[in-house]
Amino acid sequence: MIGSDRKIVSSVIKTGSYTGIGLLTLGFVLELMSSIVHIQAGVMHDLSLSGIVILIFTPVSAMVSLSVYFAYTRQWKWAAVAAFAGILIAATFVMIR
Amino acid sequence: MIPYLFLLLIIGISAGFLGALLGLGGGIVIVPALTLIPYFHMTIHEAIAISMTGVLATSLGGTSRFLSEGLTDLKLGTLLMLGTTSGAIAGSLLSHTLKSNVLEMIFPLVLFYASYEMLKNQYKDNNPDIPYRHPIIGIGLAFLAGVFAGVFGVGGGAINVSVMHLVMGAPMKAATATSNFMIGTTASAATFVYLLKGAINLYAATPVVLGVFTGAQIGSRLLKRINTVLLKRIFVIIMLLVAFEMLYHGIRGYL
Repeated sequence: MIGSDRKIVSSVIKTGSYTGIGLLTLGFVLELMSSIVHIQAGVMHDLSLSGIVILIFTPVSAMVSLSVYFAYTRQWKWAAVAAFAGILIAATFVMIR
Repeated sequence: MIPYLFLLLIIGISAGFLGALLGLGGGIVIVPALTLIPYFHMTIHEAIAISMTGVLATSLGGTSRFLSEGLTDLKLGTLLMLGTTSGAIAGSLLSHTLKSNVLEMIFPLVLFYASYEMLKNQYKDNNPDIPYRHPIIGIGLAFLAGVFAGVFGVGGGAINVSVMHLVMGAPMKAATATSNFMIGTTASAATFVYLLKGAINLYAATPVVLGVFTGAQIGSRLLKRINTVLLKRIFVIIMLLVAFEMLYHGIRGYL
């Protein structure tokens, strides 16, 4: 049986990844079509960029939702671990430069 | 233009397939392919930036499936993330002061030992009903995995899978699936930084990411069905390839 924590994180990851991949696919298809019809180059770039940005923030959103789930189900120890992991991940966004 | 994009798509599919199946990310396929095939004219830095985006896509493509199949252990992954993430921060901060040649000699030794243990216990798998053991040691080793990943940009997945399976007693498939979940968060931070620096070639990254995502879907479907002994053997082959490659670099740095 799949736990509720897995269901929540899975739905966050699926939503984020399919949206991001959808935008990247659109950009890729337009790129392929650009040899046949004229398409503004900026459109493809913007679609790909938006897709990658959505993919980047998907695992972070999954961690946030996991932490909220643990807090909601009163699993305080795990809520603290997930929140601390989330803070460390946020720190990597700033520090690995 | 079209053959160029399709070749990138195929490289992505292979990387995603292998990365999701083994919990390693797929960078070990993307970086050599993009730098060694002269057709792409890519520098190592461009290839690493694209590879990080690929690792992120492997994690997302694999994790969504593994979670639905109940293979990923979110609590174990979150716990070890404390070690890997703080290790990655320490590694990236210390990367200028640490002697990377020394680390390049130590890292293969860790992989050789893990390969030996993996082969020695190849016919055994851990019982999923038994609680995981040695959490503190696990976090400590995950920290070291994070340091290696922070310094070299690779290797975190290989150590994480070995730690979860050999030290903490997680079944091999659960370790692979959980590692897939973990690498996504570190890859997202690295991809973010590369994107801010303008280091990601979006024209080349788009087909790679699409390919990786597709390959990861295929690889994650196969993981449930694949024989654990075969999975361990493939894992060991890849770990040894990475170890020899790094050892070669380390020795060359001394000469």
